[in-house]
Amino acid sequence: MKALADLQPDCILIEAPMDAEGVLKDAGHPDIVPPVALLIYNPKNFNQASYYPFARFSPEWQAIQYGLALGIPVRFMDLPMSMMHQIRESEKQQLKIDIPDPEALRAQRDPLGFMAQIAGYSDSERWWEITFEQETEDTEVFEGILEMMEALRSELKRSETKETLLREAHMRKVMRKALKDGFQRIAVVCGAWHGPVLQDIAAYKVSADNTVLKGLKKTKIAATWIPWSYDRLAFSSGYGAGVVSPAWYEVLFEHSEDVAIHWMTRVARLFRESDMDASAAHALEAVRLAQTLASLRKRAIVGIDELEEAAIAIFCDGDRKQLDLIREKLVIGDVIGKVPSQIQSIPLQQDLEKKIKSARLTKEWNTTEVVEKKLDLRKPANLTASLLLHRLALLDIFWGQLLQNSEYTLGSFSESWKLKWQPDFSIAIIEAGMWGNTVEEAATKITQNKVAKIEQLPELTDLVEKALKADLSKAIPALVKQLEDVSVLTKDILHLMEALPAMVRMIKYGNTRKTDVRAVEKLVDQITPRICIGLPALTLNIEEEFARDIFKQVLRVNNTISLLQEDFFEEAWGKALDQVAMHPNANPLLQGVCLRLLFEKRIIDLTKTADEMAFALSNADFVLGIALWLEGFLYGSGMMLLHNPELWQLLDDWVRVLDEDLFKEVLPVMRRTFSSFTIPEREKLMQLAKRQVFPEQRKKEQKEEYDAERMAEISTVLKLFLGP
Amino acid sequence: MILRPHPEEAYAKELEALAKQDEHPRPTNWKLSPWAVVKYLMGGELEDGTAIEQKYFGNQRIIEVAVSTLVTDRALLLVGIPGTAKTWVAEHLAAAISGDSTLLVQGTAGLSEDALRYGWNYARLLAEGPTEKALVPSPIMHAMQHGSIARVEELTRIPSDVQDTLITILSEKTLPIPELNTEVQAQRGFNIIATANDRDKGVNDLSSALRRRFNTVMMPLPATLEEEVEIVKTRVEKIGQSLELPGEAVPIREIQRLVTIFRELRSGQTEDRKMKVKSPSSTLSTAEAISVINSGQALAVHFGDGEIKASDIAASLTGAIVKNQTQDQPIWQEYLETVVKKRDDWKDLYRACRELM
Repeated sequence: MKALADLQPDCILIEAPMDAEGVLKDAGHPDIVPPVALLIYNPKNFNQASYYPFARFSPEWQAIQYGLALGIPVRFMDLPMSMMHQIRESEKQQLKIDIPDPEALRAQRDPLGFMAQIAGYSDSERWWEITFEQETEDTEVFEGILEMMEALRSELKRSETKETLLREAHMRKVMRKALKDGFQRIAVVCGAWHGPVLQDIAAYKVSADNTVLKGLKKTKIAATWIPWSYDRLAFSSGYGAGVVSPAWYEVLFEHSEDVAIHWMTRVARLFRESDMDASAAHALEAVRLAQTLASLRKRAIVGIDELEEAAIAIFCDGDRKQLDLIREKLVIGDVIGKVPSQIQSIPLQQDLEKKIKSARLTKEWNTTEVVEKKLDLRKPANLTASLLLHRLALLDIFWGQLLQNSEYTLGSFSESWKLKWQPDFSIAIIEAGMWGNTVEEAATKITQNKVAKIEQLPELTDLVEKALKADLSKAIPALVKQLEDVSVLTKDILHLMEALPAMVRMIKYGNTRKTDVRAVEKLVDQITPRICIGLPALTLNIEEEFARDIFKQVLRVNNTISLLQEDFFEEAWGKALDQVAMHPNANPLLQGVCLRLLFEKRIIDLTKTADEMAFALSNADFVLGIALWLEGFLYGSGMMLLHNPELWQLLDDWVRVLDEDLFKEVLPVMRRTFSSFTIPEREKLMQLAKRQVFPEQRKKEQKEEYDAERMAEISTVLKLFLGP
Repeated sequence: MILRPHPEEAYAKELEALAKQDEHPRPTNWKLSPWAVVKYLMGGELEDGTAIEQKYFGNQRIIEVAVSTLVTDRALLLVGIPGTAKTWVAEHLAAAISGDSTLLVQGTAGLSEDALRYGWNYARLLAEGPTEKALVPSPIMHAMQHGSIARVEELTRIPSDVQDTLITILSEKTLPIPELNTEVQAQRGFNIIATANDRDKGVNDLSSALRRRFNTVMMPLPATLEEEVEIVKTRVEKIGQSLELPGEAVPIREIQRLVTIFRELRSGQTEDRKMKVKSPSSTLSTAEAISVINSGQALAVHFGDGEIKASDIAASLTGAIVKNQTQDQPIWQEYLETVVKKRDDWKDLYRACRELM
């Protein structure tokens, strides 16, 4: 800024595509708040789009603001995007092979990195920052940079890409034009690399530049400003020169005097926000340590390295991971820019409108009423609609709400939706615009972004299923990778058990959709043995409530494993069931159900089952436990008892010897168990009970005693045992 | 012949050469400048050709932070699992800075305040009453008086109430002696280097008041597989010599496998970074890898044919990993099934470990 003020330019040229100049004036809009990005795209092909992000500390942004404020003409000087797109298209088709010696190659590819390495820094950005940007705003620095770049360029004789040469030619052309227009003092804001070739434009021939530029067709492009965020700024950017740590630059820009102090104060504040001890004294000590470190390393100014190491030693007990907790906010910052709605119209919006038309949802879109809609996914338009709604939901635009009945219908052909368009979706769309230019692309990117933050397995499988429904095939690999990582780290076997059926569904569904699910298959290969290993320990000494959760999952996993039809899994699962069923400390509900499954799978025979049942029923001290055991053992179906008289007999004997109080205690559990049977089953059991009771008068008397005195009308269960 | 001389004696020549050629500013009462201290630990060659042996194998930045901490008047706490050279570094830092690494308090559960402050010569105390002559200064008091570095080993093993004695010493740099109605004020150059083990259970965590007085530096485990294999190899060789185990040459293949297993379980992912694994509760330090190989060697020499095989290390390997039966057993089993089993040339190890399950 000081340089600009010193020069007093009458024209400012900025390294940005010339054909985007139309939106330049909007940068002066009072409501525009950086970080924002200049989006330049081909309206006919949204894949041809470039973002030019600007933060408040970007020199380009500063120059634009300076020019606009003082009424100095500001122009963009870089090669028009329309031509750039074309060049990039054609370059993709060429294949380059050359093998120069590695040292020179590195210097050529990344000259600044090379210089930085010579100077002993880890990366070029840090070196650049320490050498140039931290120095106070001395205009002499610019001359120094210029000289160095000149030397570098002539030393290395780097073969510039065609694109670079074209861009430089164009920049010179614009400069000539500006001179011709009568401007005297022209300020050029550009990347340092281009400095030397722009410094003395008279050295280059006009005609040569023009020939280079000739013959480039122009495609029509559109440009607009869109809001940007610091994490996107750090993540990727339109030009090569990305910014790794925007928040750091912000601090540098705002407080160049006491960077260390402001930085440490930020650290302390962020730690306090995440409930850790961080006093002002901590910050003070950390600043002192950072300064000592810098002087030990013979650096004139404290850099981000020293600050980080000091923060780790003082705030984090030496543990880098604690700093990582706040690193994102600290280094990147969670600043989001703003662009007033009247100056933006983004491609995503246009793509959405197109998709809505092709999905024949225009009517539903134009109303804010609730509309119910049934979709048959075999019809192309309906399929488009379904995909669109699923994708929008991933973008947090909940236009449609999927009506229930659909947990297990991943492969089915119909969906019912409740649609309600809300006006504030348009803001959400603009926000989503930073993720991509088409609904599909945006949904893919946002999913990929979400994935990394999920650490709970059920949440993750949920997202994977959503992505499958939205057919985001490009996001699947990232999801599957995360699924792999998370599932390995999941200590909670119950989570694994919850996830397994979903994964198997994924395989089945993915196969019909031709998605690559081999990775998921591999994962299932890993998870299944882990469940088998972990299940027995999970069932020991637990409360009934938790046992019920496990109970449900055991049944689901059992079904899933049967579905997989793998001998190896069956064997391991059988072993796990056996361990649970036989372990004295396992929860009785689960012991029961595991024994039942073993019996169903014919892993153990009837005699053994009867033995086990007799053993389970023999525990006289803990009647409630026995009732639970029976609930597990008999769940869902009475056929067991009908077909195996031995088991029935055991049960009958047990009930018969219960005394009155105990009987009352187990009654509710037994009733719940029996009420899960079908009515015909219950009737048959009743008959069985009758048949057994009546021939022997003694038993009948005993039972009728209960009947008459207390229990007659209490429950079906009771009737079941006692007869009418 | 002394079994183990102090570093200031063992490396007297290096220290002397460094002091002679050191032109950087020295803090008061420091024998060397901070720059030279770093050089002493990281090794290298001086201008006159004196070779400085490398004392610490690892990141120079860690040593830089440690030395800078001692320049500011905060105390230094070196934290890490056993076998990460905490004590080694502390000893050498003290030797380089004060020329004296003997001012040491070993932290134990039974340590009393006297050991950190001062004790009494009771015969004198009874005869003469409380006088300065009857006072027996602790190493820390001695360091305060002479402006040198004192060391406290295993700080977290000291009972919490005794630990807190250090607060006054570190924040006000004085040690009151109420019996004599006087105090000892620390000379410039005084500081404390403490070490603590962050993996042990049942230790006494520092109070936050005390914690505030320390800058903590985490001592990491060796960064790369090659580095760690190298460390294990050299140590095994040395120990093998001193135990007079005849045996074959150092079993490099077993060391590689073992260090790989330790690193993978420790870091929670395979070395090729393709798969994550769970970490057991055991420390799995480099030092433990060394002892596993040693006991394997002993087994092979005395009960086998002298060549160390998978079955020789399987038992001590399982023992090193499974420290807690209920937690570690499934983790180890899982690792065996998902990682060890899949590696073609590891079949013998897999079988040997499976047999022990």
